[in-house]
Amino acid sequence: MPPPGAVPGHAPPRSLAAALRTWSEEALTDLLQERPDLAVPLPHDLAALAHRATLRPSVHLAVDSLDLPTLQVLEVLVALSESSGPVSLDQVGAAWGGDARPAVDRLRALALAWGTDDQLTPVRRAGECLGPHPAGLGPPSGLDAATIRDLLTHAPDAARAVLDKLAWDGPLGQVTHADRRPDPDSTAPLDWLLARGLLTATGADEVVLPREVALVLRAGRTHRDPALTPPTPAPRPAPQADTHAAGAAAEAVRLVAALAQLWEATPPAVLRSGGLGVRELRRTALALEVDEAVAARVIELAHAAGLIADDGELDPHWAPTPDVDAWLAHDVPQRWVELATAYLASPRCPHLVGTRTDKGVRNALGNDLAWTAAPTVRAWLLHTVAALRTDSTPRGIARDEIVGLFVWTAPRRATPVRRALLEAAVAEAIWLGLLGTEIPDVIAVPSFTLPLIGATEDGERQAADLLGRALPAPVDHILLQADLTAIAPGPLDRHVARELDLIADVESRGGATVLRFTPTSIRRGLDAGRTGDDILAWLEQHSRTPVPQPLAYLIGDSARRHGRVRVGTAASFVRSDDETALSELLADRRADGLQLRRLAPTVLAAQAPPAAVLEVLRSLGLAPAAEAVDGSVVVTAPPVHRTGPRRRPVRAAARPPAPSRAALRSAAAALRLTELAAHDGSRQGTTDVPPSPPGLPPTPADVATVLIQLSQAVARRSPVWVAYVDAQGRVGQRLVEPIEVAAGRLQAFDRSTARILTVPIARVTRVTPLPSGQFSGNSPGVSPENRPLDGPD
Amino acid sequence: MSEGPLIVQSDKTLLLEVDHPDAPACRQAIAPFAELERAPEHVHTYRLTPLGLWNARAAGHDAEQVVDILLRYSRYPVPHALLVDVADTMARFGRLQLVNHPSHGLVLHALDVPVLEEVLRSAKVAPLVGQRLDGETVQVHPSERGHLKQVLLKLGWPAEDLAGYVDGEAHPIALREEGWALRSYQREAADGFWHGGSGVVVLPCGAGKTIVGAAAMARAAATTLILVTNTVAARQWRDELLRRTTLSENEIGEYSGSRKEIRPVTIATYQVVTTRRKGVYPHLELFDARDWGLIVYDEVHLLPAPIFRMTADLQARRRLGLTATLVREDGREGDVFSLIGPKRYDAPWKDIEAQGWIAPADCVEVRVTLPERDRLVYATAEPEDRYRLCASAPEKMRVVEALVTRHRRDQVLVIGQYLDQLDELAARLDAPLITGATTVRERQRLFDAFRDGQMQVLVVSKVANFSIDLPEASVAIQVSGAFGSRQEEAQRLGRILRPKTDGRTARFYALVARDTLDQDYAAHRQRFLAEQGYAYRIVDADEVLDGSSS
Repeated sequence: MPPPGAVPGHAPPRSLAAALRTWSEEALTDLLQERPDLAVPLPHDLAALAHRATLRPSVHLAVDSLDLPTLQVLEVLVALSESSGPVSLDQVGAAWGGDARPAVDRLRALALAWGTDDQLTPVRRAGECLGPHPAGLGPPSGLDAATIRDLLTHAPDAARAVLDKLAWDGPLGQVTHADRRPDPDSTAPLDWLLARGLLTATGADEVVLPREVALVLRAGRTHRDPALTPPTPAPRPAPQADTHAAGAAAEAVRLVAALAQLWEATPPAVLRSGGLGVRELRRTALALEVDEAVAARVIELAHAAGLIADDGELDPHWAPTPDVDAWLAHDVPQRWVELATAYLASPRCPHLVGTRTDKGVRNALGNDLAWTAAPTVRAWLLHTVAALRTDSTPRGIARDEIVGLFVWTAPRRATPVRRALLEAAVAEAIWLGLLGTEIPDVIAVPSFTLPLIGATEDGERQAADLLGRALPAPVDHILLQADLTAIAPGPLDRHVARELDLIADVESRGGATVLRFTPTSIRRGLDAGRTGDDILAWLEQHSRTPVPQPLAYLIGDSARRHGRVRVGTAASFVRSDDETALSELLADRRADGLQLRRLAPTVLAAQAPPAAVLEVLRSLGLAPAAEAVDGSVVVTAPPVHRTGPRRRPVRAAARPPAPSRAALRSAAAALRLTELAAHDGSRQGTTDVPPSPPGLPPTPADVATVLIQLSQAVARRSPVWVAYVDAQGRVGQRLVEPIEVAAGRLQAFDRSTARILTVPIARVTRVTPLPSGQFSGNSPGVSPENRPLDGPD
Repeated sequence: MSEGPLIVQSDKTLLLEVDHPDAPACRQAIAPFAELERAPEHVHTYRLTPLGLWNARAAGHDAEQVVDILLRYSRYPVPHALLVDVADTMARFGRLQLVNHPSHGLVLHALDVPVLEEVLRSAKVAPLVGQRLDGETVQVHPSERGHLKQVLLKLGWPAEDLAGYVDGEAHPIALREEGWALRSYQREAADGFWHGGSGVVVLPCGAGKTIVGAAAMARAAATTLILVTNTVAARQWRDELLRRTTLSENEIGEYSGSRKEIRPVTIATYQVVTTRRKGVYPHLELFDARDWGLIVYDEVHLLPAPIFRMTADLQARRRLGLTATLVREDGREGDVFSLIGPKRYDAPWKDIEAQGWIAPADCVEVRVTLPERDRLVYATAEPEDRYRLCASAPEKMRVVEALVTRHRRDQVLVIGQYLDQLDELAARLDAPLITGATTVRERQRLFDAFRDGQMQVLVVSKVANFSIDLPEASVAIQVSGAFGSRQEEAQRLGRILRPKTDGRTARFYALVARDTLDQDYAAHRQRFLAEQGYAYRIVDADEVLDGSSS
């Protein structure tokens, strides 16, 4: 088969660029699809494409994506061509030990190798990616095979043993004095080998087996175990995968909703490092009735879907975002789709929560949980398992076979940490319902996950539809029982669930819901405005079974007791043994302002304070008496205005205590010293007194004032004193000519320094226009340098 | 999706829809490993507990069967985590075995060495075991067999006790099935116990637990120690054994406050066994007095703590626990499991009722409204007096009288908690009163007279809660009780559940003062029975007084 798109009959290409020129459009499209990094930005010609395709990062990406046999064949190609130039397909096949054509075709299609079947050449950077020892072979030495064979037949047994050891497990060997000058006549194995070039010294203590020697020792083969047969996991039927996954999906959705409900009431604090504290995680796990690993999944999932976030307050907490309300308004399948797509795209790895780094334990929602490989691994997992599914029947793979497949598919990516990532992805996908399970341990992709991972246009809607069909149909009825429980024998319709949550407490969740009616739960319903009859009627309407008598009694009793004791607000009360007087008062329009209400025949409540009530009653010709808290009558004197209670000013002591003699003496000494210093200073003092800035009041002006003053100064181009706080926090004052006020900054010309001064407006504390005539425009040669503001005294 | 009768909840409860056609088959399938928690009219609730799963393991079921049954009957997908948990939990049982080593005697043998290492590191296990014999085996002090099982259960690695039992001193006992026959469930219960070696049989009150005991004794054919709650119960056991078995009066001894006989079959009361003088139990010798082949614990849910300790030392003897409910108000179900043994037989009350072995019962809660005056007294009473005040409200007297009048053709038991209340009731009803102060002889006389029908009404205190056999009593009126005790309510109902000769329905009235603590406690007390399917009707005291309600 010719290289992809090669036009038969063409001369063999001499470079990758030349090879690419022979490719069909189809083949080029495939290349750009397989190596998307080549397409962005679009190279302007094929030479540029060829150049980019041979750049190290791009080649690295492409080599990482190779499966095991292709990678092995690339190793063969690199190992053979480094010593002898282009090689033929047959040579590659012979060295590898199998039919190399599929692998070689793949390498050419990926532009990792080029040339005809007779003259295959790998791109140079591919060799670099594979490291110095492709297929465990040392560097080429130039010895030819016949010579090597000849030498080997005469090799002493000990020397031969050394070679055999290095042949497959080499090519490097540790020895002492590798760089010795070997004695050609010695029969000591190392000397003998080094002298004949069958080993080469690479350093003081290291020897290497040359490539040609190793190939001879390996009988011309490069790989001991060529990856000829792919691991073919037997597809296993998983008829229940859809229902199991749907159950898991519903549960995951429920947990996220429960998390939002929990955190909206008690939002946990954001750690200073950004995550969620271990204790908070434990509390959340306890409240959600799951273990901490699952709680971490729920939290990270809600975060990935944008349902919870740092509230950004001064004392920050993790709290539900406004998106939660929109999310909760959707039905379960739609909610799940939003979670699932968020999960697939999220680089965050909840399974790392609780593991240690050198800095400490990783926290949920912490900054060190993101891993760019995660979405790739998840996508690979789902695609791989999905490939086993035939159109109609869900088929899956045994859970423990997936890792072997992972290693085969991309051996260079299957590092131990990535394998752990894969295993976590399996667990998470099962938990979220992206994968379904089948007893004993089969995983399969359920129907509703397929549209999400495919390139279908409205995959999300399809997924929601399919999940909706896989979920048990919602029920809109309950069964009431005499032990005061209600059972919803399936997932409850949203509206029914909301009403039930109001009047009963959930005892058990799962496929069904068990609720218990208690006096407290009924009271909750009554508090929310339902009447006992409302509740009974609602239950009768939604129950398949008659309302049991104890339940009817419970509701009746609770309703009877509800509101028996009432609490209201009143500012004062009016009481009188004369019921008629109170009735009269109630009827009097002039008392309307008091908002009187009759509580009992002899008691009125008023919304006005006692003083106002007294005044009004007096004006109506009544003779009311004020009552104190204990019921005694308060006798009021004519009002006299007073302040509220105030503290007395602190008084100074009559005379300060007399200082001791010693204290006075040291004070005197200090005074003398100061005097001496002042005397010295007066001799050095400057005579150059700068014009003083205006004295400023201690409080800064508000920003609006400052803005107006500066704008005016700009308009008039008149100089002003500007007091401001500089970047070091020092307060200074300068005489400037404002040029522009824009973008929150003042630009002004500072004459003292002859520079443009730029100050944020927010830092300007005061602007003082110069009294007219004080500033001539060129006179003040000296300006105060950051002169501190004068004190308030 | 299958339309199975079972819904498996993620919190490990199983909901069984009773009216589903597959419900009976499903119930039978899940009964060995799931504990029936509630059995109201439409949906029964079972729970998967570690104890229940280990009970099933002890009975020879494995995790695969359990998982298979859950999947087969489940209507909705079973949570994966739950299945894994079931398998894990069941796998914990029996990793450690107690076996008899030919040369070293009792040893703890591990099928899984890391588990042994784990438990040996526990400070609680260390003093109970001797030297390590090899990687998998460690010696156990024979006297610590029970304690070790208790501790291992707490650690979550229950040991399978394969060390066997001593046969005890042989003594021929056989059932004398003349004019009666062992009922099928009684036979199954006795067989279940015998094959398990030790364990608990759960049967409703009135279902003939004594006969299960007798059948077990016949299987053992060995000297037997029977521990019962009180002297009256002891006499009833003796009478029943004399009637049902080949035992003669000389072979049965009573070991109680008044008599101290030790015979091949000895019946002792909890009270005398747990009597303590100067810090020692003087009657402990009873357990060593003979080489007992079987020990029967009546009303195992009431077993006092000291008896647990004594039982811990008796692990080499076969033990049979009998009870109507495994509910213990003190939550020591785990001790029953490790010291007496796993549950060997269980039948829901309603099943036995359906078979006609216990009388159907109608439970009625009579709500008594306190007059204004009493409500005021109640409202202002000290908290510690409040329950007594509302439970013994004088208003209840009139209702009791009305009820007794209505049931003048029936045999009526009036049961209460407070002696002054009972005194007054007895006086008003002109009926004899039995309390703890009544002599055994007098009690016996009164019970006999009641049984013979010479007496229609009997007022009793809590002494009559248990093990009093009054076949013809068909109405019980509970005027007050011990706070919220669920098992007391069940026991009291049990007094009237003996099948009546004319197949009448028994009536159980619970008098409750409305809007008081009494009502709260009543709700709690009724939970067990409501969960067993006994639906309480509620009537107003006024209806009773008017005679308008039947």
